[in-house]
Amino acid sequence: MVAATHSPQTKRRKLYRNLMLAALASLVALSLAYRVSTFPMQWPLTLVLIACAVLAVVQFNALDEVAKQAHYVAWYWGAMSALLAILIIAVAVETGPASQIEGLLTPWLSGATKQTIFLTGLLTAPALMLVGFGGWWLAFWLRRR
Amino acid sequence: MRNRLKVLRAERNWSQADLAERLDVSRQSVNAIETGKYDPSLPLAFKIAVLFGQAIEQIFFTDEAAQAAE
Repeated sequence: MVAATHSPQTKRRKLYRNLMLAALASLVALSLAYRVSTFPMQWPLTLVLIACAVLAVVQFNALDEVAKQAHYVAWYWGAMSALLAILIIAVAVETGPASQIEGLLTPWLSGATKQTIFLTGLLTAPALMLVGFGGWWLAFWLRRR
Repeated sequence: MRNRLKVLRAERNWSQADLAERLDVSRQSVNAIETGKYDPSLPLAFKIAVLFGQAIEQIFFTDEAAQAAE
């Protein structure tokens, strides 16, 4: 058997994946440090976020076509499913009995500032979209094993 | 779509990883193409054809053509 050596493209893909994992780990570490440290973390956090965004573009461009297709399919269907779920939740919250909704939210948000409540609402949508993306991405690869 | 990728690969005694390296794609991608669960783009199909020294239609064919041949 003639084994092929790792192509430069394969090495680049592995490098970008590892860099992205390192950047995401840094993001988590800085976010946790932000909670306990008095050091102004907004600048390191912003820098790591920008690094993640740049790496995401570089890494995506280096993917092969099947991996790109997995991302397209997962983002389209996963994000669409999440958006539909968000709309259903929004309608349920808006039209449902206010006392029940307050009862559900009170343990989570009692004592929260308006800023926290706003940010929670703001970040819930992309968080659900990411969950949808992850589910569809996994399904794409499981169906093509 | 169906293809003869597995046969062509076996003739050369290449693993999926070997073929993946030669095509600059992942092993998972080769597997998806080989099992007919993903149809490659025209540029990738050309790359496969050039690698095996055959015309695209000698490697990839429709289900109807495969059934007719059987």
